[in-house]
Amino acid sequence: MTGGLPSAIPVAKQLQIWNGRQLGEAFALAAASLDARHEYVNSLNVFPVPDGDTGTNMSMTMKAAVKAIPEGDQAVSEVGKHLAHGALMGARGNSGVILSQIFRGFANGIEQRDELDGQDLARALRSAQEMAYKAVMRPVEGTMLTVIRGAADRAATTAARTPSLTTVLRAAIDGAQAALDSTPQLLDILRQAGVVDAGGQGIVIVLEGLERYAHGDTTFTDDATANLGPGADMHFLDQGTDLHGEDAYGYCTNFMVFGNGFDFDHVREEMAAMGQSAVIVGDDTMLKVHIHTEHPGRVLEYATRLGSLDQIKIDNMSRQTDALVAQRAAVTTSRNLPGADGYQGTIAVVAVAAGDGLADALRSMGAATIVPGGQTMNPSTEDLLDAVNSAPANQVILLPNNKNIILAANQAAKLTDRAVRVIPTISVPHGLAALAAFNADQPLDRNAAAMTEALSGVTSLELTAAVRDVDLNGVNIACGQTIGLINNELAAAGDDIASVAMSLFAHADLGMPELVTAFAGANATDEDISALRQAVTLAFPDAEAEFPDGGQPHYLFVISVE
Amino acid sequence: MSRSIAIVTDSTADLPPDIQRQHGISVIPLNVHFGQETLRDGIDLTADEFMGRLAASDKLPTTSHPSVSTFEAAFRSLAETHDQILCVLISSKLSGTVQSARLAADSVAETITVEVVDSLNVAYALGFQAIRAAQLADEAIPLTEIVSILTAEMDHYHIVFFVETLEHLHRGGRIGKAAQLLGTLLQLKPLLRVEEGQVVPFERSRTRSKATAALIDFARELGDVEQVAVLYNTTPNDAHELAARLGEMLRIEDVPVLHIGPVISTHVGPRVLGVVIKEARSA
Repeated sequence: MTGGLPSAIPVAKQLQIWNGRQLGEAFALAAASLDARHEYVNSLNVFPVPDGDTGTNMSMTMKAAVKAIPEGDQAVSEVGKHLAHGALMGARGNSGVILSQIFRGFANGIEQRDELDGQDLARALRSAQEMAYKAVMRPVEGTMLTVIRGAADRAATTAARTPSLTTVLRAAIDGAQAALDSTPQLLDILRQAGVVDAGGQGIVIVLEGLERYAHGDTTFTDDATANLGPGADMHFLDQGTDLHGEDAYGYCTNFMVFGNGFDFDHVREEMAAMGQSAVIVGDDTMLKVHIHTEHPGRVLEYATRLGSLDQIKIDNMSRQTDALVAQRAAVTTSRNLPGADGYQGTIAVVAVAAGDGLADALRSMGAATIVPGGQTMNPSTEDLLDAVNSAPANQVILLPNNKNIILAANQAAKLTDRAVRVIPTISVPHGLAALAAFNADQPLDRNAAAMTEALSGVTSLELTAAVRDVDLNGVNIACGQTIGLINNELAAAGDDIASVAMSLFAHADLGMPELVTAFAGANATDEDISALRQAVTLAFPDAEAEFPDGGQPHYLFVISVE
Repeated sequence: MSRSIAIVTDSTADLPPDIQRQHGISVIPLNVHFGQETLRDGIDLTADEFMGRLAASDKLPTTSHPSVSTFEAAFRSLAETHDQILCVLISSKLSGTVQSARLAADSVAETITVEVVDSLNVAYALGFQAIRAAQLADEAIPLTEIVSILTAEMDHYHIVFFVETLEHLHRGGRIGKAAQLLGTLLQLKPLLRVEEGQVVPFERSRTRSKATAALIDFARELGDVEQVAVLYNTTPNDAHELAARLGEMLRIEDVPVLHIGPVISTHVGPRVLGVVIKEARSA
């Protein structure tokens, strides 16, 4: 479905049965709905780290899915097939991969159907649910799995009574919403963070998008879009490519306002319209504002009319994203040259990393191809597949280097003719440890075993800044504070690098490490590096320590401890 | 020593003096040069003295193989007490020692028969071969037969070691295929092995303990091990600990711990740890 959205979608009031064209248009509208609200979904990230990409990943996946649907009249089974294939190739992040499996199941459920009624929908949702549970090795309740199950259950009950598409769809949404509301009870981490599951929210939005089409409503007037403001379309840096920049563009602007009487609701509405990702809390005398905007001056100017400002903090997010864009462009042009690094072998290692320094480190350890991406930019299944297919050897070892890329890597491995082994590396330090065990002269499976085994010898620590306030595991974290993660799990927070690092070292149970490698991020200063150096020396006087330039965005330090 | 065949090796075999005496093996020294100063390996300076000087010297020493005349003199001297000479020497791909010995052998050909065997090995793998040659000679096995036994057994010996840095191997031009490990941005303890006489990359490790574990794994995976020895140059405690672990794992009581001599240390740098293994299999 490559046509324009949403104006090209004809009104189809209260249709009780959809043909293929209508189903395609309904999904296109659902994709647009998800796109409009992906930042909200991003904001449901449990950890306040700059990798709240669930909304982005699902939206990108959804767009790839609907883009694959050919225009014109066709059977719904055909639409389902194209939708599933598009999603499979465009899947990005774990949530995207699971969404692609949901579509795959959905397509299976309407195989050989020309049209779709409520009972077909119920069957498709059940099939979608089953495929989604199969997609993950250990299904966890309180996630998008629970939500698709909620949708499928309620749809099945209702479809037993009526074939009405709108009735069954409404029931599916109710079931999904109820399941979504239950996610904080099912997953304690969600309860602590005070959010519902982000992926589950994405499912609800998709179903609501379908319903909106069923009601002939193709306009975007819901409250979520009010937060978007002008410039929402700028997020896609170059149309048709896979870059996104929504949470990473403009200035992350935070401040407090102390006034003496203003209309809170009115002020909140006006301010939210000045940017994106607005989180504005308070009352008629006090405001705490978090907003992403291209024009922080305007927001501050507006706020000074309300009262006095305090705790002003403005970060430029665009610079980091620009670096990523340039990096992606550079690597994309060079990565298809076999043996560019003099590499010749029967096995090639393809690794994912964001940041020139991290990429160079991986290359120097023997990675033949680097796919740009990481915490804030998950490559799609297709990106990974391209890298695998153009790697300079027919046997490929794939290092996702992020837990949110592992599923997409597994998908890519299934889609190629080449022999691929995915080593489940959750960070670049894990990727480097795996590469140290790589030996191109050994058979593929032997390498996979040795590289997987090597992962147990390394701990990955990360230091970054919290992107929002949160209370988690009894830790009270304020936006902008330094936070520390151990193997991707939040473990420490504080106001300075040294104390957070010391706390991380204490929590990580590292024993007597021999080697500490701390990759400095793109915005780490010399003072940051020297603060960390002191902490490392203090904690591990006998360890060797090195501080190479990692160049990674968002993360001040990515630290490997061996 | 009533043996008719004299056994000669070179100083890179790291044969301790008592072993040399016990097996009646003559050792020809290679040379180490600190600037203008030439020192004979193991004679003018011991391994420990050398490591001290290496650490203190701001310029790296260089090395040279024994001169033809050194070999000639040794051969003529041995000819007085022996009927034949068997020379087992450092790999010709790492040193010109074999070449030098062959020229000397030609020039003494009218006096005595000298067989020069290119061991394609170095360090105590060469040492093991020299000892093996001496034992065969003690059994009065003819020279040509000893040569063919040594040749057949050549690939039963394995040397695996790790270096702190590839810098020394690189500067000495002894790096071969291991050059592909150069240019790494990160801390790396490359594991190397000698294969067909050359130093080649084996595995990579980022820490000493993992590199040491890889040495042990190598020994474990070989299966039947007849002899094992440990090599070091600056870390005796690590070496003795490794020897104990290997001895226990392989149920071998006597695991010699050898101090790598000045010539080899010049090329591998400090903090080297390695194992030499002779596989148990019939030739």
